[in-house]
Amino acid sequence: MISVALPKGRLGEKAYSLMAAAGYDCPSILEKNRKLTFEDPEKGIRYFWVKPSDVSIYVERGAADVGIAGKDILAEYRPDLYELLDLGIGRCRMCVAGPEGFRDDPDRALRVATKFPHIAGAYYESRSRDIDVIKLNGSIELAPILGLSDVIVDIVETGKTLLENHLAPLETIMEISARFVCSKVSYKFKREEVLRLRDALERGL
Amino acid sequence: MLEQELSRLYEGYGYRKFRMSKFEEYDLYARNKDFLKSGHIITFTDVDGSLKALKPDVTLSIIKNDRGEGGKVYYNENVYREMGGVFREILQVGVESVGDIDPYAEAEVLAMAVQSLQAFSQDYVLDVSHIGFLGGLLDGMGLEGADRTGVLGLLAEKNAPGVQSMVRQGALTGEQGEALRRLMEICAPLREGLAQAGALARGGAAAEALEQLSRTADVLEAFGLSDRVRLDFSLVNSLDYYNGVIFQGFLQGVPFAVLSGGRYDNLPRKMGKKVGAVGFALYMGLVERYFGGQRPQEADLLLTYGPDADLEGLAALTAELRGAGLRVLCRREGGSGPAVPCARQARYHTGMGREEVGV
Repeated sequence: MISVALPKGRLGEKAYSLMAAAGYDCPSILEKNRKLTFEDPEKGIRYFWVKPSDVSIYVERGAADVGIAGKDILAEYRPDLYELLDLGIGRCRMCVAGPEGFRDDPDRALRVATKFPHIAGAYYESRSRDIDVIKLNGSIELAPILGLSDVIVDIVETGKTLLENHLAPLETIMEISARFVCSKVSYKFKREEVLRLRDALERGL
Repeated sequence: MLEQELSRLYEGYGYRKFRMSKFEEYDLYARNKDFLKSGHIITFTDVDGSLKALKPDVTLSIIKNDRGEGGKVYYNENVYREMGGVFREILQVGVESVGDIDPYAEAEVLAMAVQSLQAFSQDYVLDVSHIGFLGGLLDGMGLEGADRTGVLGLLAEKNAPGVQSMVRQGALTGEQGEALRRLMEICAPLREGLAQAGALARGGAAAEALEQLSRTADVLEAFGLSDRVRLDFSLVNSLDYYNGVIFQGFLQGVPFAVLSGGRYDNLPRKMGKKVGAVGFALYMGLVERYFGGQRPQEADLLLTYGPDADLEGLAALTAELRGAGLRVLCRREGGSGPAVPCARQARYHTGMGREEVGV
């Protein structure tokens, strides 16, 4: 039995359809009820929905054998696990964005508002730029408008939200997509099942 | 219990118990910071003004105390380390073999690692890798600096998509990318894995490292303990310190490596000693949380007594029962106290004899 942590929301639903297409479907998951886990013993699979940022925690701690997690979450929390496949869904970019025509003043620390303080910190450290990280939990675009920060580091999908707020993407930090990840311990003890699942997913891409 | 079993195991190989104080000169850790997984150490000033530390590690002290003649020791000590943002006291059990390390000495330590894992569970795996092989392979690809660190990080994650993306960016050739992908796929019994890795090594340091590992594997096979030992190059921990074979032990149901070790000749050399060293540590304190099992009974008999009980008679009876080897807990009726797991329970009455409590 392989247990799979799926991220709640659109990405998780897309990921489930990839799993189903690969032969690991579990129709009960689509029923609207309050069940937390869904399993198909014949196919040897069990699914559960968790908050997207928690997928890597479930997998790292072995509560789920495998999971689907965005590269943004993996880069931010750096969990100790195997990253076996790029599913190519949920594509977006991690960007630095700021007011249109923004120019950085190197004489003072750059104020950066973000949900991803480690990614922002590592990016600016690699460029030896002194920054002041402001960790926010949502509505990041608001920070430069209210003067809370100079720029933001956030996920950009179409750039529409930025445009509406008169912000523009300035630099791309990394490309993001959903990854198929596996607990290191599950890989040791359930290697064949995990690799069969990975190969089936890879064929469908 | 388990600690005693492990001690007997190591003594069976002629290893001597190493004892040390909780404190050590801070300087030892400051000089060898890169050997420690985390730089956080509890320090304090001794009465004479010298800076001391609560030991975060035992290996450094063993090598420091070695007079250059080597020796085989095991230990069973508490170490003080930062974990998850707080300091913790963790029981660590370990083995160090110091001296002229040949394939026998290496295989002996691997054999003890396997048997230590067996003491916990039969569902275990010991993953083995070789620093010299990885180093030789990456040198052969001409990888340096950020690209080399990047590739090592990807190997640790078995991140094949990451390697593909490096190929796309031109940091690796297609051929190198393919070799790395095949390297990641290796997770096979030692002998089989060595054959797969052999196909990737093109002479030089990498091939030499595999040859060394293969001799160690021969001896391990002769010990009859190579069944669940696998070659897997995703362990790339502490590359600066280890220089030969490295290994990690996993138990089913425990979400991290419970045992880790390897060959670390650089440490004794750095301390000016012309010896080699190989050893491992087992994080007892962390594993026990997962293998607690059921709580042992704290007493064999719980004897309750009323407010007007004959206390002298009770004392005489319990003394007799204790004499018979029973653990007896007495508690006044209606009194408060935590629930205690006991095999049996009885109410005392005047003139009660040992047969009445079933002894």
